Amino acid sequence: MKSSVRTRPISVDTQALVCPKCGAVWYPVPMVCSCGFSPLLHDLDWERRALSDHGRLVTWTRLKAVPEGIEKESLTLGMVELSDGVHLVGQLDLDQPASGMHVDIETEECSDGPYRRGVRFVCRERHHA
Amino acid sequence: MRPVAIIGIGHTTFGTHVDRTVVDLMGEAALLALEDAGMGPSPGSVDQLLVGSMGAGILNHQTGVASSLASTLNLVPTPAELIENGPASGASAIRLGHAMIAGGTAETVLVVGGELMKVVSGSRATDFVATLLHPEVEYQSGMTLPAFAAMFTRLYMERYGLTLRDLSRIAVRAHRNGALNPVAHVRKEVTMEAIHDGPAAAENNRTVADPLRLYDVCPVSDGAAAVLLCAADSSKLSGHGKSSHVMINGIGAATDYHAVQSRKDPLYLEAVYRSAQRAYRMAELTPDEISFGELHDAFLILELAIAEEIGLFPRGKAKDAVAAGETDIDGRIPLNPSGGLKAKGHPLGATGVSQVCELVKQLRGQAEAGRQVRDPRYGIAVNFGGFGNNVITTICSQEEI
Repeated sequence: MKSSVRTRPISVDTQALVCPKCGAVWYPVPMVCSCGFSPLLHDLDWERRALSDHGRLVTWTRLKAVPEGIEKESLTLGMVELSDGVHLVGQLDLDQPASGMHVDIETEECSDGPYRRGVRFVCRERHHA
Repeated sequence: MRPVAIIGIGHTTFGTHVDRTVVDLMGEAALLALEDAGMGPSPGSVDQLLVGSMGAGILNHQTGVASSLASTLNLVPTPAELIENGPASGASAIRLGHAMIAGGTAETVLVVGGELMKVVSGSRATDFVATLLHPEVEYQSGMTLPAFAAMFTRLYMERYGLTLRDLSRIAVRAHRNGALNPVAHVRKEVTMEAIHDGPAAAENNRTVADPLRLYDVCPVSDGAAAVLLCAADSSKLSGHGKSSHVMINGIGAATDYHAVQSRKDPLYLEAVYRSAQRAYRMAELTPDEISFGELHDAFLILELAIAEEIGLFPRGKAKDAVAAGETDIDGRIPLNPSGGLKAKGHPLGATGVSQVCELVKQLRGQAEAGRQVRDPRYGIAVNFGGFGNNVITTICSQEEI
């Protein structure tokens, strides 16, 4: 019987992981792939893959009722499909968001209240193809 | 598998109860359910107490509420457990009570759901509910449940041609039904003129999460509801003098990926679909046999999406059924005759139990005039946890015993 498993990399490191057995790409990273394989129980590593830095805005909202801990009057949020097919959600730094528009993805440190710590995504208008 | 009947229902008013405790609210609903069943809360009257609540520990600074409820109801030494499954805690508790009776480990189970939310500010309640989201890739961006509902609505509008006017039609129907429901949080009718068509609509129905407006989302509510479950072949039923009871024909549950971004299509609610399929299979029914539904419309878009996932309408077509009056109280398939979460209110842990209370009330023919479904045969309830990552579907009917 194993006495421990290897530690799962948390997802805020902005890297997608590829299952070494079936090739599925995951972000956020689970402990077990949908094929049933868990690298945490084996000596195989997930292959790390940097997330694409640009994508297409799938949908968005401008939120007026922000949650406690966020010191802004409103938040613009969206879901983006990256050019490598991975989806993510993040804040939008866009004056006029529109579904389908191309955006650049950046990361920033966040420290909004005691529990919003780490890295989040910020999407900005894409100026070059 | 032993058949399971619902022999008692109890319901507090939904609304603002900041002068009470969450256990006090739950106790009121429990007593009403026991009274409805013709039973007293004496030790031995129930074999098990199950409590559904999401926020007592965080919002009310009280843990162990199931133990507290068993004590104040003087049900000790009856076993008591707390079930936490987000906004689907109530239906989860019913599902586990059903499993205990069906499996033969209990004859009677008292299920109580309750929540006391309005003791905290709106922004704190919003943050509390947002703790349901993925902590690494959703919560830290400031994502909330209304934000996900808004993004879902925008995508649905673009794919299926839904308009904000379509959503307003649902709000008008929800408030029409809720105005007739004595336990509803918001008991007032609204008109299309007031919330969409008229000159004051923009002010009355301000945007809260673009494109969602105030009347597209449910209120924050306090309240509790209870059901008393009993084995249909139990000797405890024989003394009731009733020849028929509402039965749980089918109950199913399913999960989906925690992070919405991990799903193949953000508009597909797989857990809703799978939980309904499991409930239909247990009940040996198909969607066309359902008479009415209580669907988790915390955001009005969810009534449409859930109705489609459970097979009541083809994908993208529920809005047309609403416009044609098919979901009105006298329509082909009435939806949310209680007023739904939109008008009746949404005290998280209470909601799933409240939905099943409404199924029972309708199937008994005890709903108030103007919101009683005509000759209902089968009712379906869908309780939606997280943003669709843990869902319970329940199907009930009135049966001769």
